[in-house]
Amino acid sequence: MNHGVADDDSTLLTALRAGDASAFEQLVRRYGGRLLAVARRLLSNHEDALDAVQDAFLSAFKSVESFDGRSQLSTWLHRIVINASLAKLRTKRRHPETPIDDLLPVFLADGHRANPGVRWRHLGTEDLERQETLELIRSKIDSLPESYRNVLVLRDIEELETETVAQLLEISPGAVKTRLHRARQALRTCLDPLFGNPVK
Amino acid sequence: MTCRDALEILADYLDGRLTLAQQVAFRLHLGLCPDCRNYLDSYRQTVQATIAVRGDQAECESLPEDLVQAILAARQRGSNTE
Repeated sequence: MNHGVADDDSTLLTALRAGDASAFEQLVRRYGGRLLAVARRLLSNHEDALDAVQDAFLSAFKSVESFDGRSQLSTWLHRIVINASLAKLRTKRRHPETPIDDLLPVFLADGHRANPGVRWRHLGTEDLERQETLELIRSKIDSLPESYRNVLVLRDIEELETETVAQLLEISPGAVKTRLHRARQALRTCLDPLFGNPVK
Repeated sequence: MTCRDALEILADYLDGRLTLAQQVAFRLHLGLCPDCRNYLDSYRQTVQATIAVRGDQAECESLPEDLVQAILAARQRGSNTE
């Protein structure tokens, strides 16, 4: 099975390497929307996401000759826009991050939870396809502290491997796993009011 | 195993990374602790909710036309200086 560039993209890639201006425009129009969606997941600010997409395409233009075609063109661009988005995050003036501890489970000295959990109702497909539900979930993800949100987005949404996320964020794989677990726990707490039924 | 212990290894349990001994201890705890059973269920659904976002947000959304033109113009400027 060929996991590399698809025939259609292969033609486009050949034209890109030849410096064909119309090929660059085709690339931007074909993949721009997808890249914007990825950038928006990492960058809460829409303008920053647009900037990251522009940076990503310019980076792609410069490096297209070194793209070996062993992966899909979309995969290659996906990685470039993630790098551009993370670079954008690093250049922004940072406020001290909100501690995540308030969103994590609290335990008593004997190891039991301090508060009984809220049982959730079952989430069906129709729940998770409803636009307002998805927007609410997205807003809760956006509200997580950045260092945890980035790991959640890169692992659970962008489906990158732990090692890859570790390299991108310059942290250890162990730190990725810990932050992912805590991000999920924090998000769960944020979603309690939406999906939880009080335990009777 | 306490609730603290169980929740700490929740992600590893879902990923199938626990040793057999850990799995047994974890499942024993779940059998005795409805609170942790509820937590596991809601944790799983949280992951599903996160994944659901992946399929949304207008994968078919287009870039604003002015951005498309700005990108092409920037690329052209870069080509002219080479």
